[in-house]
Amino acid sequence: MKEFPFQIKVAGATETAMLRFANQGELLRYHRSLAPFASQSFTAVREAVEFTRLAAKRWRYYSRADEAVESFEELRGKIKHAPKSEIAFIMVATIRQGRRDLPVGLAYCRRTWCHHLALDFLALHPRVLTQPRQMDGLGSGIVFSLVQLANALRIPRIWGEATVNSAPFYEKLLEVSPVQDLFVIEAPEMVAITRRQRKINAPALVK
Amino acid sequence: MRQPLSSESTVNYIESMTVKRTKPVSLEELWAYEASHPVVFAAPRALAEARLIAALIRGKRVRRTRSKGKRTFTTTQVRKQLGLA
Repeated sequence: MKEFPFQIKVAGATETAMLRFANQGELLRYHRSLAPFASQSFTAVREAVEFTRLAAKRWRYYSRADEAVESFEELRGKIKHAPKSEIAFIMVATIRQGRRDLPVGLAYCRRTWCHHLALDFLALHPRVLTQPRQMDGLGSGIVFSLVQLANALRIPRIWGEATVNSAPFYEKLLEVSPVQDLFVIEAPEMVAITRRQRKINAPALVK
Repeated sequence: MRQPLSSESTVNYIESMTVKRTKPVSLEELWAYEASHPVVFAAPRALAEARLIAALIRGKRVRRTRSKGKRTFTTTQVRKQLGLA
């Protein structure tokens, strides 16, 4: 199973989180873990629950049409078999807590017909959103792992629709301005993201 | 009185579409931004499509439930109900 690690800070200490392809069972577990947060009124939590549920439904819909995958190997196989196909997949970010993996976020992606990666949903888990500053660098870490995935598949571009809420985040992450309703991550941005992620292990940040 | 349309555009659209590289953003700055601005994003078109799929699934489920609970009557029963038998 192919996993894409990234560094985050949990309560001040550097830890490794993993981004991996979600299968039916993992999505179900993620879905169940949202239940305690479903009635919260905090906008970000409400949206995280809604987006995650909708993303899972969309993935299942595409899965029934055989247009979604559950693993890196399956994705590579589908691309080889039908190079112009559109393939959907969900990546789940987890951190190790004791003997189990705790889901902390997800990304819904599509490999487009021209071998680009479209990022449709990017949402942290409500348990992270309700404890700000407990875990740092999850959002940017997930994007870093998507860059790793793109490199592994030789995908030259990651793109997505930006909104009024997400545009400033992408401006900072990609070090470009202005980001309007479209963000594009190509080689220079991938380098910037990777460079920043490598700094997490630098002695200055490890306290 | 109607104003004549200006032949000169006041906005340089080509200039506004040019994306410029900004100064490097440090890890601390990015993380501080992430902490105060929750990372919960959805592409509007993807969200619209996902909502449509959810509505379709919901519709199918409702139709299934309704058809399960539906009672069927024989011609004789209908005639009895109408007082024709």
